[in-house]
Amino acid sequence: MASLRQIRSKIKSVKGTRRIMSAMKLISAVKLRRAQELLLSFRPYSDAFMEITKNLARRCDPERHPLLRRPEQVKRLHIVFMTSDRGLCGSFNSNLIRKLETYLVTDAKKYEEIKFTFRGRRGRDHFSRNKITGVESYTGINERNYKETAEKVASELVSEYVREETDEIILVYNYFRSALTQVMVYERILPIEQWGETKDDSTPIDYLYEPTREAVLKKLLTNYVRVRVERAIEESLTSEHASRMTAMESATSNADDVIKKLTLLANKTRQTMITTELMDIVNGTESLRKGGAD
Amino acid sequence: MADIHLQVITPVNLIVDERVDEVVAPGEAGEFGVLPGHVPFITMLAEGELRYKKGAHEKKMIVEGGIAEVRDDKVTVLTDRVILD
Repeated sequence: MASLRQIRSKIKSVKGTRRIMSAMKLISAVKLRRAQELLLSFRPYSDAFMEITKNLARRCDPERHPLLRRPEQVKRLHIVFMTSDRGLCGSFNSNLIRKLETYLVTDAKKYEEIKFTFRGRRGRDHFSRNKITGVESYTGINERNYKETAEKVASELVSEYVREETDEIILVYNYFRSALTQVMVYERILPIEQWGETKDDSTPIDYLYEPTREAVLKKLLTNYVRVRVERAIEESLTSEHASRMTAMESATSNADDVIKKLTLLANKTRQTMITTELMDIVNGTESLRKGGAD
Repeated sequence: MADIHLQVITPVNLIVDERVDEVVAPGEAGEFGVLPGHVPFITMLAEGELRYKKGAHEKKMIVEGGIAEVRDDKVTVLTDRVILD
């Protein structure tokens, strides 16, 4: 059995760890609140943007703009994979990585070429160990600079698609459903899904455009990609904070359990020591008394 | 007869989401009005005044560019910033 001193020093170290965990939990809670506010206020805008673009894709002739191109054969896929830079956030990254790996050996087999863009150190490092490197990777994204990153990523995706170097672009990230649940999603951003495709086959009448069709398409479509990427980054950031908060919360309560158990053990050990010492003393006096009576 | 669904949305806020009678918005090629039964229409917006009527009430706001879509008696205005009257 460990000595009392060993147990006590262990308790002390667990207490230290617990303090760090609970501090991280508090920090994540604050960050989560801010990120969530940003996300929830951006959602209606991005949803409306997507709806308009999808409607446009259904009504407008695909020849009108390169971003409306619908490749006949989809052979080259570009995956934008969003993880976090740092760990200690529960299953946030590992789930995403595991699912993507499964996807790569199953459904993704039909593609001839798969390219990656990574957001976050975790995903990039994991896949670089497997000899998969991204065309581009972005790290150090936070609530203050994500907009610029979204713009950069989007403009690269757009020019790649326009140059016909890729046939399909999907985003893979954690969707923020609530502080307790985050769901991983695959989203195809290009070619643009046609909204209401299944409802009826007849092509509805095209929009009227002002000032010109070209100007509207250019503005709407390039912004569409940026809005999608920006939204995904926001979802991912918010999910990361939520996930870290939950992870740290359970780590804190686990530490509490460990401390409780160790304290119990320490007390037991102390009690045993006292009992042993008492026995020694009793034995000693007993034998002394016996000696005196002789 | 409030039968146009108007939404005015900025990246940080949902400003208006209600049924109205008539909308007048500052298109880049000139101001345009929307009544029920309007053809599908997409326009870029100039900086200017957006008005809408609901019964006897008329409300105004300034929008700073953006895009507006009209489809199936629904008007969606996406703009970067709105200054409420």
